[in-house]
Amino acid sequence: MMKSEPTSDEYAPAATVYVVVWIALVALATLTLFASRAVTGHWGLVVALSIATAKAVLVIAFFMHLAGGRPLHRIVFIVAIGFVLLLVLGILADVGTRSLAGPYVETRGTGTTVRAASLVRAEMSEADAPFGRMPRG
Amino acid sequence: MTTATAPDIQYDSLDRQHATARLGMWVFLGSELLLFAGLLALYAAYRFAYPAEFRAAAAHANLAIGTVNTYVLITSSLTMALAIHATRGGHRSRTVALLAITIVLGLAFDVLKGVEYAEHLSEGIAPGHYYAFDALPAHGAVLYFTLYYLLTGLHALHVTGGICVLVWLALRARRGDFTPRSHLALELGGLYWHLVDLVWIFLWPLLYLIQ
Repeated sequence: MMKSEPTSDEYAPAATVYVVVWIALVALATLTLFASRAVTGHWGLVVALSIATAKAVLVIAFFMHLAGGRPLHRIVFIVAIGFVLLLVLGILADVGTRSLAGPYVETRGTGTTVRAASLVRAEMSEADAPFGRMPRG
Repeated sequence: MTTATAPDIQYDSLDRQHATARLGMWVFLGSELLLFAGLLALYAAYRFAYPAEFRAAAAHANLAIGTVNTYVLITSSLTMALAIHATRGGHRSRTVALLAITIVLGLAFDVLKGVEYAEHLSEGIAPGHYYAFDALPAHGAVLYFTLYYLLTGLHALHVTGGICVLVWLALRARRGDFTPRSHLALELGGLYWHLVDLVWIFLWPLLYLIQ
């Protein structure tokens, strides 16, 4: 299936590989659509982002040729993705384990810190909304 | 973007020169990821703060257009990859045709996006201070739609920039600038186009599908 003749990119899959990857991407997108109706809430987000990650890996590996070529190119992009994850996960760990406003709530050790934070929010009046009131036009 | 067919090779070999140029492109794409990651981090924080409001606002987003655009971009990535494949096989007119299809798909994405924006704006859904749509919960929906405009707007700018690059590449391809061995500009432009697809792969579930 994959022939690796020496081109300037050092990685040259056959046209059928691209088409197969495209079919997989279309199938995964359709799966995301149905999964998002079937699985909701936090798990829905986990499922949607897992499928999105699978799609991203397909695009990066085959369309962007990172499955072949020089290891240095892989390192650069994987490190960049690592920094993105560091940023997003750091922020999620912060906002997910504390109430953003209102009374301080001990959430350690419960294992359900997200729910604890949302319970706090439910008790808050609108004026105590997280991050304060948004200006309205 | 550098010229692939420069007669004076600055490196030991053309392969090494191209590999260096691609390394630079990957560094650039890495910085692009972090540009979007800043906004995605904001999205994550506000979604935690307003889970119900974000769900209600996302349910109001135009899922049909968002979904069609997902398929449009995925397909444009395929035609882009096939355009490079055609160049490698020495098929000049096929390369130009595939690039033209990619451009048309990119334009279709932008037009659909414009229709979506117009629809929202006519309802009073505008970013930030100008938001005036009372049917959705106030605070969170404003933040959702402000981030929606920022994320999709930044992405649409990338699509538009990508289309400009593709037009330039198609003209060069038609002129016969690219050979099976040397078509660096085409490869780098392709990488940029795939990145645009990559970003949308995450924006679509985050902005349209959350329930």
